[in-house]
Amino acid sequence: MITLENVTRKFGSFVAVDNLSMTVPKGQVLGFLGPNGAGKTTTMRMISGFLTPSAGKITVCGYDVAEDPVEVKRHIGYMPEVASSYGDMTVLSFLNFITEARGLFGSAKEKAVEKVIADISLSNVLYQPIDTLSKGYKRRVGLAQALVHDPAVLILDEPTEGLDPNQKREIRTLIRDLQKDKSIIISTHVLEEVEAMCSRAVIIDKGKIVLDDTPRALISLSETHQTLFVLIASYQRERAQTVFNEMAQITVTDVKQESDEAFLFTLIPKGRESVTADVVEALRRQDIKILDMFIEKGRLEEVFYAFTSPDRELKDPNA
Amino acid sequence: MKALFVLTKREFASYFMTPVAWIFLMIFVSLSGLLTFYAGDFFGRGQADLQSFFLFHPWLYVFLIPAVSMRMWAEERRSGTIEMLMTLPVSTGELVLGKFLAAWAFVGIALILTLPMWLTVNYLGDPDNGVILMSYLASFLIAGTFLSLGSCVSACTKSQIIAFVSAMMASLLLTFLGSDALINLFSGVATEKVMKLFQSFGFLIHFLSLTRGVLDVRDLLFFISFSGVFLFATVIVLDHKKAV
Ligand SMILES: Nc1ncnc2c1ncn2[C@@H]1O[C@H](COP(=O)(O)OP(=O)(O)OP(=O)(O)O)[C@@H](O)[C@H]1O
Ligand SMILES: [Mg+2]
Repeated sequence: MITLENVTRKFGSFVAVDNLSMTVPKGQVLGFLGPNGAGKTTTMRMISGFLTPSAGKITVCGYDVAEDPVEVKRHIGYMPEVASSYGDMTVLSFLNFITEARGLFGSAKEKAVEKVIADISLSNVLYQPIDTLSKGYKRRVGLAQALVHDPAVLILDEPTEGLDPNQKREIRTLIRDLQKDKSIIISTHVLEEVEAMCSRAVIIDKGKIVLDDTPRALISLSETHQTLFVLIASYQRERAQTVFNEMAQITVTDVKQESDEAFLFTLIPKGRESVTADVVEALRRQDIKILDMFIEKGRLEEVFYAFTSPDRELKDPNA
Repeated sequence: MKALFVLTKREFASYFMTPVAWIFLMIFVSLSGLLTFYAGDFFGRGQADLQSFFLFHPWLYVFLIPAVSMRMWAEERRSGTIEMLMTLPVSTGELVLGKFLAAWAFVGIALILTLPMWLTVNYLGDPDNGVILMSYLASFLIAGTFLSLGSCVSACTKSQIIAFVSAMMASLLLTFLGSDALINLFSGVATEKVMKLFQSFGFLIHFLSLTRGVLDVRDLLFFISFSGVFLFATVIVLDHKKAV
């Protein structure tokens, strides 16, 4: 459980995090999104106790970060954005060091290290100095270091950055497995990842929360949400066009010849509701055959752009 | 407590992963020997003691200790590993103490490597071994004080070079405060009292009194409290500057 209450962080007169409040309950994986410089890393550093807020209060597992930093750090696994390990140490000696520094010794330590080595697939680089590892492996050591003591709270700053697709997948699965008894905050620029592993997505911009909802709900804010693509046989094209024109709840934005025999219609609903049933029904009544059809769920990327790009028009998420 | 041991152990081991450590050991041992034999006129004095050997220690430390301490925090800050280190469940005090103890132990090794000198004087004559033991203790103490100063300086910067140079200047000044050269320089200008005050803050006078075999608790306290102040200052600097 993580709570932030009106947290602000300034660097000089520059406000990096601006009066931010949020609560991450147990069992939640929060995807923390935002353009470069939005304040994600700064926020995560404050939660992990590395940076002190200029104002506001942060608690982790009931402990106040300002009053009880050591107890808070005991409950957190934190993977920093850069340099999360000592380059001159080997992977194994580094993991042993971290585990001991976190208070695990003897067989408890061995078990914890063994488990994390298996979970993050590090067994073939154990005796290699971290400096000589590839970028992805370095990130994996950083992740291992955050997970080794099985913390109740995980703060991961771009954990999958630089990982190969297979590893990304494994990490996603791992995080989903860890989810049920932990509060997890993950920052990332890979938006599909958010859909794949997060139960909540928070987008911040200039230190302020601009959107906060489930990934699915955010996607539904997308311009293309519920856009319908309908494939109609060429000989029925004219009639289909008429049917669509008569329907008040949709706009035909595009008609494209797909092949000699078929045309693809792009239909955008005027409201936010699904128009699929209406379209199917209207076509069926006219005996127009639907050769194929698919519905665009929308894309997080579009929503991200709409809410954080410099030239955005201000939008109300509830409109 | 256990965490402190873990931190100290890692830091200590890390010294031997860099060539600087080996160079330090080599230079310290050979230079302290050479200075004793040539500049200190070890044989010419015709006395079985290590006075001339210990006399040079503070001056060696002024140049060599900053080479040990420069890396302490500057490198953690430059590379960013400080973020990982300071989000471990240990207090800043333990981190500072851990690094300090590791560095101190490392310098201790350098001192141990000079033990052949001790054996030599015992072979050549009949020295007062109590005085020599005290002198080793004094040397170890003053080294600790220089290290704590270096730790504080290293926490202030991301550059090892700046840490090295500043620590050297500061050490030089503090050592110099107690030296005859400075006393002579200012004897015309400052009153006797001011000079005495200056001198009482100088490292050299406390060091020399210990190496003469006079066990004065005030001299011990001087070095211990000086180290304490610098280590405490390191904690404050880190808590304020760590992320900047
Ligand atoms: N130590 C510092 N001193 C001054 N400004 C800082 C400092 N740390 C961060 N900032 C500023 O605060 C803002 C937020 O930075 P932060 O690293 O939190 O962004 P971010 O959301 O993590 O970005 P990215 O996606 O690039 O990682 C940036 O404008 C950055 O320049
Ligand atoms: Mg960042």
